[in-house]
Amino acid sequence: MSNSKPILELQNVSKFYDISRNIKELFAGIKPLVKAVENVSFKIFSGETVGILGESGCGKTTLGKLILNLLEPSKGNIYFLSKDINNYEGKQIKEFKKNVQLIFQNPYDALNPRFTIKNILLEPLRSLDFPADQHNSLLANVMNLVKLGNVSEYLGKYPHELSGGQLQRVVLARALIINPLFVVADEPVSMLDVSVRAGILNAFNEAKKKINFTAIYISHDLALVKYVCERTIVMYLGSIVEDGPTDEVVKNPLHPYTKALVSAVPVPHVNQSHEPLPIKGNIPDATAEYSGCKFAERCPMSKEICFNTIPLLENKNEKNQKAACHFV
Amino acid sequence: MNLLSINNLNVHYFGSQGATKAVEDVSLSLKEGELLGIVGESGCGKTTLARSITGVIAPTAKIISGEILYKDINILDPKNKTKAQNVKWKEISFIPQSAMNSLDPVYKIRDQMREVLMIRGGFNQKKADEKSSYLFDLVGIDDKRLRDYPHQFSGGMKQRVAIAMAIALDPKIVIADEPVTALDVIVQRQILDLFDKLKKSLNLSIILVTHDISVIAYTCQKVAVMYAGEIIEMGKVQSVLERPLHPYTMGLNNAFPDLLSKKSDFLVPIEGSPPNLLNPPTGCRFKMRCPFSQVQCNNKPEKFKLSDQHQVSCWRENESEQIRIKASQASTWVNNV
Repeated sequence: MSNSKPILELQNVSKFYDISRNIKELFAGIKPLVKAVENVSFKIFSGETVGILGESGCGKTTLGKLILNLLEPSKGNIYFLSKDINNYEGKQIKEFKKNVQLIFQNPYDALNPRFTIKNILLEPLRSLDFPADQHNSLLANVMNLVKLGNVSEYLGKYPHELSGGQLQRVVLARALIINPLFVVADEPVSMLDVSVRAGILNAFNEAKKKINFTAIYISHDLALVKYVCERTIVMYLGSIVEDGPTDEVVKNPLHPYTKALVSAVPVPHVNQSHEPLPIKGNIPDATAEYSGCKFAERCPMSKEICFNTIPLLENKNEKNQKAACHFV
Repeated sequence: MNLLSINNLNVHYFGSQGATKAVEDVSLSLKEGELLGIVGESGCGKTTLARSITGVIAPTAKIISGEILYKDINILDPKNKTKAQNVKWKEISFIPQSAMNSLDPVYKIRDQMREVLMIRGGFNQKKADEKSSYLFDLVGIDDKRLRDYPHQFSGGMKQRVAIAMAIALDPKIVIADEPVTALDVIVQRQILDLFDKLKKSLNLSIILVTHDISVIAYTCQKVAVMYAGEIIEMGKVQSVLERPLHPYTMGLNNAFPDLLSKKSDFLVPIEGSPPNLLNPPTGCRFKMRCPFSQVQCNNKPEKFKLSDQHQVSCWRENESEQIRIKASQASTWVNNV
């Protein structure tokens, strides 16, 4: 796998937002930077489904936007099929959009309430210049793919006439109708009820098998990531702390943060461990400067080196599991 | 003795299209020191139920019938109005959904704590501030933060403030509506552990409303499963989760992602969606989505009590062993697997 070319590669990507919090800082010329994503590098190969896991504010959504070329990185480069996505010219950007699609988090907000389902689904075909004679067959295909049921029944309806689960299937269908190579799914089921969630995830998995796209699945829920992704990247405060096969990350987490995260996930079983969490405190301010490990102040095993030296994301075992920690 | 009992409660919302039967014939009880979970999907009436107990339901909602007894006083009875008012917040307090947004952004936390303690509790200002410091200590926030505004707090800390407010007047019962829903897992765990600690140290009884089975499994002793306005199964957490009797509970278990399960395990959805409560179906309300429904299900199922520990509303309760085996197979729930 490592010999083939990655479909997506990030090289030392950072994204800083500057926020002037009050008028004093504004006049004093202080520009506090929120380091939403800092020095992130990874490669994704064709056919993979990679989960990006992290708590709110860890930069996972910013990372998704960077990959979709909706934001420009402050530093670093992103390569899609070996081309830097921020150096596209003219028609290249449209080509990129034909290959990369986004599945939104909230189906209630992601669909135009004045469009019928048919128009919603045809919109990407129209704006990306697909020939009109293909429209109907692509439409029928994708409706079948996401199991939206009886095609003619839905096409004339408006979003408010559908349930949350059906809407999310429409969102899924809209992203998949152009047969993209790469899909970014940003918390696609977090707004849905448990009993319908499973249906969406199964549709996603099946669609993946059929049209064979590569995907990034952004989520805060480890149990869902485990269900969908074979590889998981764990983020903390804008940096990657662990990257490896999902099963290993769950069973044998290396980084102390991942360990805490895994043990904090409640499971639907009665006799579960009530042991206190190994970490304390809250996620610190994202504007802070770090000369060492960002997790050091909350970490139960931190030593002096953790505060002075930034740990590198390195391969820690033969299972290709990487962690950014001095003590693993 | 039951601290709180609810008998045959019916709550309807009145709108232009008629009455939405949000809570239908709900009975449950809470003993002292018990942690009861109410679990269900959105729109199943769990929030309406929680709000009815504290008397903070929406203006369009009306309690049609039933009684809510707190220490044998029916707090819904107009004759007990003054008694009922004293029960509110002093005996039964409430942590609303997304408590993080329920703090007033333009007042300091200290002033909001004073509001509870002085107006409702009759404290003077000095006493109120002392009590606030004590409460902050209890929920694990530095009392210097009392002088801060809500926007200076993180989500988890706002939730802690909401908990501090709820226990400010030493209530016997705290009703928490989705207290950990918008929180990250680590913060969620900390808050759940806090509930556990407070329950033990203050001898609180807690009703925890949530959509998350694993939260119930982690914290509660007793659980009531709601579907379409009704409690369809209730009992000890252990027996409800491990030996569910109602097909809906079984389906919910299948649909729930489990970190400890194998990758090969298939998440099984429950097809369809909950019924519209404007015109709920007659008989069992789950029958349309239930793979085990029969003609009999067109009649309202009785509440079968298997023991003090476990009750269920399903006609096929006596076949639950076989049904549970079938329900664990994905093909029972989805046609084309």
